[in-house]
Amino acid sequence: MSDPAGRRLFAVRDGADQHDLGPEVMSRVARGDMTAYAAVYDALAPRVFGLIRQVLRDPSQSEEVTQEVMVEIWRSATRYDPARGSVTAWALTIAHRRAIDRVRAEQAATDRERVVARREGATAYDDVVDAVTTRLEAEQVRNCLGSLTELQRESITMAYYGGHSYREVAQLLDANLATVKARMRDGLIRLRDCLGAESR
Amino acid sequence: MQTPDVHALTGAYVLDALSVDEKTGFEVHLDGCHACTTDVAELTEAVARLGTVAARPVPARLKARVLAEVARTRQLPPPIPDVVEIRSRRGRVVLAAAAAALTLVAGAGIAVDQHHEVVATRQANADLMTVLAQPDARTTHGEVAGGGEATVVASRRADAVVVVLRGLPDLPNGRTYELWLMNARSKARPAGLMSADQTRLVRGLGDSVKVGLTVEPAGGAVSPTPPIIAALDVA
Repeated sequence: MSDPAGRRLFAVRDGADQHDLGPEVMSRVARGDMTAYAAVYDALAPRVFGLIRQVLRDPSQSEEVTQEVMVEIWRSATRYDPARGSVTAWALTIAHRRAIDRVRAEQAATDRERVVARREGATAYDDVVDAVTTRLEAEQVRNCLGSLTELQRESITMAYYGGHSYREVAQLLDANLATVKARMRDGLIRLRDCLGAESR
Repeated sequence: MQTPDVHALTGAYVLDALSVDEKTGFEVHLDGCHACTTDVAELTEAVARLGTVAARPVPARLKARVLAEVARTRQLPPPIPDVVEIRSRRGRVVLAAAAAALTLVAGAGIAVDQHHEVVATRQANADLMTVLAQPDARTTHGEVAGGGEATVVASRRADAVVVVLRGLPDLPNGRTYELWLMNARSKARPAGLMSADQTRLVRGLGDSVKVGLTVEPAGGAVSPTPPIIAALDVA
């Protein structure tokens, strides 16, 4: 997407973006408004499903967890606090947590090493960003991830998209635990600052 | 989990990169760690942006299933927040009187302290808010000798003071805490009895310049029995 006009068109075509989900939509959902909820579903489900699918890989399990999360968004609509962040951030926090809960449960139940090995190949951030339609928002994230050091980026993407715990990341990257923890944190700070700058 | 480097886990926590046990332990830690809570809050939005890039089309059948389940799912009631903004004539004022966080839920009409216990009824809540919302409301905070903290919020315009006691030792049977309004000549008049964790509204400041606290026999006294375990200025 090199031409700005095409990029704008793309941004519009890409389903609903965050601006569709102002806090007053969520207050309506919180009061039991099903029409408002259907709009929230349309706006959020692609991101929720996409993220869960990225982490879990398995299509039917991903649908199951997506359903759980979308129902939870309805159930706990009163707990959404606009002061703490956007609706999308709130929804994706729930989605990611539920997906990781499944990963951890699966790890507990099966051979740990086999699971770690299977996930190893699916964590490169290039794969993640290339797999979806290029959007302005995705471009920003891609650029900002690109501005991180390799260790920061890999620690973050292996954990977030690959579902690895920080201990597994340390093992896979052959780095020490304290270093991985610190790179996750300072990488996220840098990412946050970069995204803040990019959206101005 | 209280390892020395527990604070270093905030990044991993926000990425959901902790084990089940570590996560539980960290959330317990988070409850009491303001720095970590701030860290987590500041990084959550950036992490969620990572999530947005993976969006993909959803199977159509899922919507019908979700809407059907939603139709038979009860929603949670609204929560009681930790801190509430109180509108004053200066605009919004967030009231958190240091460690004795007095919180009021406007509209719900319930006053709760930071441990979410109900301490007042709707009418008492409205009275407290009237004082707190005054433009001349001033907060003074101090330690109580023997343990605990006291906070007073006084308003001359409302001619009243809100007193919050937090974390004082429980007294044995037969003893009670008592409040005093004291003037510049150290003359004290009784201002009500209190228990160890309580919020109270005292009306009629008159010429008082301090609120004092003592321990008295059950039923109170007409003049303070030394020692004065807390003395807070009423501005």
